[in-house]
Amino acid sequence: MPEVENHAVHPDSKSGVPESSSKTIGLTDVEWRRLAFVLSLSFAVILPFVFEGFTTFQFTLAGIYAIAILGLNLLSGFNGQISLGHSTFYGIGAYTSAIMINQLEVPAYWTIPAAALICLSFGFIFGLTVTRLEGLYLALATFALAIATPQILKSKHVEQWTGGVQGLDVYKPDVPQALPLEADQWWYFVVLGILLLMLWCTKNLVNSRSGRAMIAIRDNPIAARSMGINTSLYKALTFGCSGLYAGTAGALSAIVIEYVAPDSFTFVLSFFFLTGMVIGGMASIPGVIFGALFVLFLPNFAEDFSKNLAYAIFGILLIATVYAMPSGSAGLFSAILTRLKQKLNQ
Amino acid sequence: MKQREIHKFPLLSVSDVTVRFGGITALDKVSFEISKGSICGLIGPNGAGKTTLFNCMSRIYDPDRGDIFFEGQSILSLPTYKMSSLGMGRTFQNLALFPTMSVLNNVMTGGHHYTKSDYLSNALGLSWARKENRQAREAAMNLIDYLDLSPMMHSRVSTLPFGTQKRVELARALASRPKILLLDEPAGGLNHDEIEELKELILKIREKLNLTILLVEHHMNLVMQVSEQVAVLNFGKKIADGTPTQIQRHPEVIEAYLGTG
Repeated sequence: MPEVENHAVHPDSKSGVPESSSKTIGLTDVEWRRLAFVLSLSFAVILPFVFEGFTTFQFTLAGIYAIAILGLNLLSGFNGQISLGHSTFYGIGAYTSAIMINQLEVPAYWTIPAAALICLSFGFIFGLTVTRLEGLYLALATFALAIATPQILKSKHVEQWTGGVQGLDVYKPDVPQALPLEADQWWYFVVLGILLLMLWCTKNLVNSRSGRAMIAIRDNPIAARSMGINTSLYKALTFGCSGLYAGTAGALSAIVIEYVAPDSFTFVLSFFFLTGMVIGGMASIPGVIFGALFVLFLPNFAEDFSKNLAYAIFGILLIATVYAMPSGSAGLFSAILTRLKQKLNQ
Repeated sequence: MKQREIHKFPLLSVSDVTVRFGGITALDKVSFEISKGSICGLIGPNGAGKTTLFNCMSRIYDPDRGDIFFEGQSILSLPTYKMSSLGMGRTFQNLALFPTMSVLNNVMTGGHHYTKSDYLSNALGLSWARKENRQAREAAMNLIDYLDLSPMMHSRVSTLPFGTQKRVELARALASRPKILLLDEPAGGLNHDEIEELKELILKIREKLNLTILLVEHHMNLVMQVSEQVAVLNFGKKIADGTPTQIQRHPEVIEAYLGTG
């Protein structure tokens, strides 16, 4: 497993100096982090007004991926449970939303929390059944979910709901009239808002009693149990939470893309999430954004390079990236920051 | 040492506990009692079954036969994670910290069982959950201060020296507000001065926190100096049980340690 960057520990913790005491050009680490956050957020807000519609749409998808990867990171990065089955949660979320919109005529916005809750329950129940599986065995069990999903969606028994191989069309609601925004821009902001909310919740969660229990289980399950943590329950709860994130992302993707089809939810999607998580940084919260941008834009970039060898080029770029930043973007950024600080403080 | 009032009431009693691993009998009908407020040493040569017994008491192993009572109630039907709320705290022979967490977070995790905040309240940062977190942090910081760990409070535990990690583990065990503390070789890897400090510390925390302590230890001086009662295991059997003076004179103990020559 790659080096885990843990948010509960301060980056300069090796020196044992509490972060508030060290300043770089007049700002403490916390202030620097706030500044970085404000700058990134301003950039994110300006973005859909600078780029054309399709690029905005792609950034919207990246935001959706970031939500799914965040969920996966909660499960694998913080809790140590490997999942190759997140395409299933994403798919269940997407289909829940699509079926509710297409066949039950539920307003699209309401289908997002509905998909989240359904995936929460499914994740919790699945998490309880696999609570004794660890490492590669858990990876296999979740992989089984991922390979079964597209066929189940196509099967005759559920065809009347899922639309079988054809999939389902979804109509996304119009932009609220009071707002002078294009549809692409509006949905970009909806996704950005939900992503920010989920980033905030995740940050709260991992720095709380629940988050400590999650990390404790990852670090040492026997000691965790001896400290009074009901490891089976916490693992299942974390699985449920992770499912909630992936389900939310799936529902958003159904609405934004206006279409769901079984073959959008193959195990390949799970591997993309996994790649995004590792590239972003295990157990890094801001890293998921980098990871999502990476898995969304790099294949496109590779395709621009050569249509026939797109995946070969993607593969090479992936290896190069992993080589350049063995602990993900989070590890690289914190290493650069530490260097910069040393330089500046001299 | 001043004479303490040791209660008659056994806080923990082990009755006829037998554990087998395959063909090996790790513990053979071991019985003994620990009175409330006492410090009990558990000694024996390597492989005598001391840690196995510890693991039975903290419900990591299931004994094949026998029973273990805590405050008069059998604990064998309880899951491992209930031991902490029952009042049993422990440290591990080879350290079982959460290596990627800071010292502070390790110690705060010790307080898991008496805090209540759930996933939703924590994710939404509800004020009662934040308040509980602050209280847990304060309690942990007091212990960290008490065990002289303040300077490295924010350090990742895996970066700390072994002796310091041992103190972190003790702080984490104390953070669970135990009634009985099971210490598995707390002096292992410590030098002479550190062992002297540890001796003071064990006596001090017993007074301050009103603890009962069960001590597994190879360091004979330490055990004999702090314990009121010492039990001796050899090849899975209890061969002696009594005051330190009685134990030091016990022929079977001398034989177990020095051999029959």
